[in-house]
Amino acid sequence: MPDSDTPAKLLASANMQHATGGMSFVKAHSMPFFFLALIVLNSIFTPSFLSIDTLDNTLRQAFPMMLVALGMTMVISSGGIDISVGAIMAVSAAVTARIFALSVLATTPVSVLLILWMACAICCGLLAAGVCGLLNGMLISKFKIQPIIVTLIVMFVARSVAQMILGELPLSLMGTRFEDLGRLRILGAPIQVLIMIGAVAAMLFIAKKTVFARRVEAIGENRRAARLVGINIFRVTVGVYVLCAVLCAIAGVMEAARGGRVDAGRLGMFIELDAIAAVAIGGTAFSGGRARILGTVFGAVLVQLVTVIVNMNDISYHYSLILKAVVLVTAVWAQKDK
Amino acid sequence: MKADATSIKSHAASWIRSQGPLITLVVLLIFAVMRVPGFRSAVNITNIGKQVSMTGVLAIGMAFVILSGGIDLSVGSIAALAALLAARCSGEFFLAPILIPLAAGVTAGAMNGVLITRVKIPPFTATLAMMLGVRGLVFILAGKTAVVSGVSGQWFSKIAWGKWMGVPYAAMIFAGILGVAIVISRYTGFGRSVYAVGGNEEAANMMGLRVTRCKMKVYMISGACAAIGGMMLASRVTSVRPDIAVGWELTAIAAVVISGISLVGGIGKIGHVLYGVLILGVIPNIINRLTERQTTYANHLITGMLLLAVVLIQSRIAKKHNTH
Repeated sequence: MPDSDTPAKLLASANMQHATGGMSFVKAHSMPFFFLALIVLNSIFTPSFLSIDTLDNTLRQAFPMMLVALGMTMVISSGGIDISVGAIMAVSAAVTARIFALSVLATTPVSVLLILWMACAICCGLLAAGVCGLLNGMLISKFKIQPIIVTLIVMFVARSVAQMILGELPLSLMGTRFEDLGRLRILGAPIQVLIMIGAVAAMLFIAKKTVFARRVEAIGENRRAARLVGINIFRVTVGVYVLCAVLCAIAGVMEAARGGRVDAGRLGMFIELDAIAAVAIGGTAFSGGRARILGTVFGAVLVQLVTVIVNMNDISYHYSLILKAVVLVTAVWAQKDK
Repeated sequence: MKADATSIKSHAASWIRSQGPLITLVVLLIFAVMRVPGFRSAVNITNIGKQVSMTGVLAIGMAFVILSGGIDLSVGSIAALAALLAARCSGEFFLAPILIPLAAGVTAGAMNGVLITRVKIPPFTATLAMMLGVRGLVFILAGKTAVVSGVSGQWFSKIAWGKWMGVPYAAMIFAGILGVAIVISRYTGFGRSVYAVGGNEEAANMMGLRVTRCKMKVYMISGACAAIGGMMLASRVTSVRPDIAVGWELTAIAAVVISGISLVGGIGKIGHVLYGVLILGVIPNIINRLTERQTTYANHLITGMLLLAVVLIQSRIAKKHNTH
């Protein structure tokens, strides 16, 4: 078990990882090259591509998908898949917005009470997402149902719960302090970017330094062997899906704050496709195994860049689907083991 | 004598465990017939038959893919492409609305196969890319108006609406394809090689099976089945929108998994797909008949719950079966 390792052993294993990592360095980094090429091409062909505004917009729009993709990376690393992510975003946003809008505080100027109330509402949203994640993990590990079916069921249930909470019409948050949360800037940087950097850093730490990530990887690589060496599969699986759900919840709440409204029927719809594509581009194997967080970050930015480029060049949405398909295939092909 | 009795008993037990989908379906049907008003009516049964036969055909193709150890996420998009082409060609020469979509479906399936076997991209990623790409193509083909003239009133619409001795043609097509699929999976070399490839690809390769060719065929079959499903859809509706058949791949995968075919590959029976498809078709029908208000939210919630119950019961029934 890694937790009984001495520092010397850990160092040795880290060195070994570097040695074997060197071999795949060129292969693993074909993607940043690809990414650079895309940026260079566009700084030539797309008007006003290289402006702060574009960067700002790209990052803010990439935010929800990036968080979802980070969670998805861990899930896929454990050999599973989570297609309920969009519905979890919707349910957490619905719960948060509904609770926040209950109070007269919603439109009052900023005060300690308001911040507390907002935190309370967001916590309830996170809790709702956590329950979904718990359900996912429990059904998958305790009842041995295939992840794709479990998360499909949770997708149905979570989205309909979100719609039942909000009713027929989208809930508008216009004019409430909640909308300001989405526009908040700290030292000039949008809050989305800060959360994103924090989430990437946290996930990098989890993936590289914690025993949890090793256990996840072990389950993904060989479930039976993982069980035999004494890994508590139930606990680790639940942990993975709850982690993913909480990241989705943050994405959902912030997305509601950015848009100033929650449409339970549409929020986070089909985001699982983009997130899965980002993870695939990032090089995490679908059969389970090592979680490549940085790869996912690149993948997410790449997928988002495709959307942005298509929007800025006034190409219709339909071509962006084809472009995404081409990017996905090329990126996965470029870094496959030859 | 005693040994015989116990062996018969254990045989019976293992048979029951392998028949989880059938048992679940029977329980569901008994409940529906006893408790759900109007479920037994001929109109309703015919309706269920029509509805399940479209996604059912997709599920048959998906079953081959999953048995070979892969997955096909592109079937919904391929069905939409086929539906669009069928609607476009419905005024052309005889059989055009059948042959052209079928050719498109097989081509798309072959592209899946090439991406997976030649370019060596994992099935999940390759078919996800095809799902996005083909859907984009459908949007482009549909053009600005996004609605294509329908096929109502022509012979083509008989596929969905016509019936013979009370049995809709659509259900007959589904049953026919299912029969052919069962025969292929049981009695042909190809069928056995699908199981071998799904069970252990390396071993299949070492035994001299043509793994690449087998996989190509599997994805082409899935593409063809998706195209047939799409054609049936085109003949059913009056206008084909480009966002038609979204999410069908999930329905098909769910039907296959509920029918007891393992996503690991190589385990399960094609014939059981019928049970999975019927379970998925009967549940929403029951809910629609039981709830007075047609609010889809609550219906989705109950569908999810019922599906969960079905899957849980099955996992209980199959538990000992799988550990043997």
